[in-house]
Amino acid sequence: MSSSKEQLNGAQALIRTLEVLGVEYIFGYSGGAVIPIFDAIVTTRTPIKLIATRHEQGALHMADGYARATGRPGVALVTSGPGAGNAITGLMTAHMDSVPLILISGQQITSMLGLDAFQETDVINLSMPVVKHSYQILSADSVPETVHRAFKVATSGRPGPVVIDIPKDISAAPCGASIYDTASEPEPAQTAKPPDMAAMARAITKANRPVILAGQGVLISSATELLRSFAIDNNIPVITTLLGKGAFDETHELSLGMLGMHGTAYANFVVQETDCLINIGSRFDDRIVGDTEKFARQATICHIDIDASEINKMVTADHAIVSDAKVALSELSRIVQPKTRTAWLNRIHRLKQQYPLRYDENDKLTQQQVIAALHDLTDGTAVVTTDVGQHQMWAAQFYKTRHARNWLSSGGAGTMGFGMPAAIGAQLGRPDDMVISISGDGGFQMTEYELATAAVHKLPIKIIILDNKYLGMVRQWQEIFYDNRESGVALEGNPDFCKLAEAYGIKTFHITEPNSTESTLKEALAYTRGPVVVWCEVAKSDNVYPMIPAGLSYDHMLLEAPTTAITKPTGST
Amino acid sequence: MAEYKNKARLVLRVRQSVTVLPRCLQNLSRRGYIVLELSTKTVDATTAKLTMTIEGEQRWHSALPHLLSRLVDVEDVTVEEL
Repeated sequence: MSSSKEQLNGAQALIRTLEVLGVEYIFGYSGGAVIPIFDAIVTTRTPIKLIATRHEQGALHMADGYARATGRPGVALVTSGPGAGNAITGLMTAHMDSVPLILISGQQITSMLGLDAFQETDVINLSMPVVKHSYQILSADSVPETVHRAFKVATSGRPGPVVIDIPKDISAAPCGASIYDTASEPEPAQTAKPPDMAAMARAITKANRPVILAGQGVLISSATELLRSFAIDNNIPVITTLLGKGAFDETHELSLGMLGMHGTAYANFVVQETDCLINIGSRFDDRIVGDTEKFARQATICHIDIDASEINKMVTADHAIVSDAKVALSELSRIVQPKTRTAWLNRIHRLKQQYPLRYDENDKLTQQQVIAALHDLTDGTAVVTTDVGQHQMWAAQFYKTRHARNWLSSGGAGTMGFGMPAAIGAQLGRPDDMVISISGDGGFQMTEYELATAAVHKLPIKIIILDNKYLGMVRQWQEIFYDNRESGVALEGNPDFCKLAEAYGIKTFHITEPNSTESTLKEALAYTRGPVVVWCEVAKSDNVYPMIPAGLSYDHMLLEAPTTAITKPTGST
Repeated sequence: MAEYKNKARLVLRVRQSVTVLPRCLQNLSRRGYIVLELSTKTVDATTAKLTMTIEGEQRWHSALPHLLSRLVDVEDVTVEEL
């Protein structure tokens, strides 16, 4: 380790340290308390590129999308007070989905802290429930060390967002500390205890009807190749969670797609029939489990998670291993005895034929048609981002993800407005790959102002707006569980989305009927000189099936619209 | 409102920092715990011992060491049923 001889202030030391840590982009929105840091981006002539956004929430989602798409931490920079306040949704989104993200927030000068000075907000306490950790820097000399530490915390073990709050006088003060020339080594991967591993391996070997549940932990630990060979060698089918999409090629014959509330019917039936559920890197989210007492009731539960606090939180495990997914899979691959399991695979084949995902094809354009066409035109290889709601579930069902880090969606927090800014971050991180943002009209309008950011940087993202003029998922719940009483879900006054995008100088397409869908999408996907918006006016009152009402068991799965009244769910929102 | 009757003694060895106590309390609060007693003792220049009597759902007692030891600055956690 050696030191830089530059005379730097705190802000410049921050930028230099970010360089050492390999940061490519800072997604930021300026303001009074961060002027020294924005100034340092200029005065240091840093190679780090500043992406100036239109709102702090957009900056956070861009940093989040960058992190999910690349596996490297995203960095956002905001000012104090409302800047930090506007960042909270982005922190929450990253925290719920274990995304490594660094938020640098400006702050009032140290002598004014706690005195209710202009734009002074206690961001440390404001963000505490939605970050992995936070630091307030009170000496310019500690800038390099604190930033290194923050990156280590954000990326080690179970990743998460970290806040670094820097008062303005600290940014401006001379920094006497050296800048580390090399990034600190990451924490070694967490390994399992051998006796636990052997017991789990015996349970898997013994099983006649096993199934793997692959979560985001597989992606975070870069274990997709190991998972693929483990599943194929042992003839074990693979179900993925919403965030685990891409952990296993969904076009492979062993893939069962997503499970849970809006998962495939065959995946949900398999969960109820399996004699050994092998959960690798998923936290048994309530959208998966429903009624905990009746979930996978015939199965021996094997749970591998890097976070010990997730073991036995939702579902009691018969065999638990606290470990990095890659380390555990590597060891299991060595000691599990392969079996053919022909009868089980035949049963799964029959379930797939009996209960395929389907949608009505008639003269009205549907969201499923658009998504299925996108999948076919890209062979499932594009990076896809979504917002939250019906379109998200249909995208999860009909866009079969083939590769790791190609599915970026707000799972735990369910943040509308995530998709388009996340696509901007993903495209910057993966400039050679096609990035498609799929949004509903509700979510898109929450962060539509970032069209300007996409346009300014001429990013070739494909922005698909599935406009049913409704908050569709809430309307679906009102239809099924609230006697079809609509309240607050009609999005009256939606704009002409093509005119809106054209106002930003963005190329647009408009689809209103099924026949022109594929040809129009093909043309839009081929456009690479900048962003393109495809406004799809789709059927208003379509519903997502299969559906398991919240908190109920898989026995209550609805394959189509119910013919009798359904009791309001009480288990969860 | 749920009635909590299950008490436990929670002992944490922590690195001294401004935010370690509120982080611990926030995590306990999220699982529905209330703190009945709290004492702190300096161990050395960098370390402190926090002792709490808490009340909450018994099913979470055994999870608390894992839940709290995830926090930066928390070094060791023990729970004793009362």
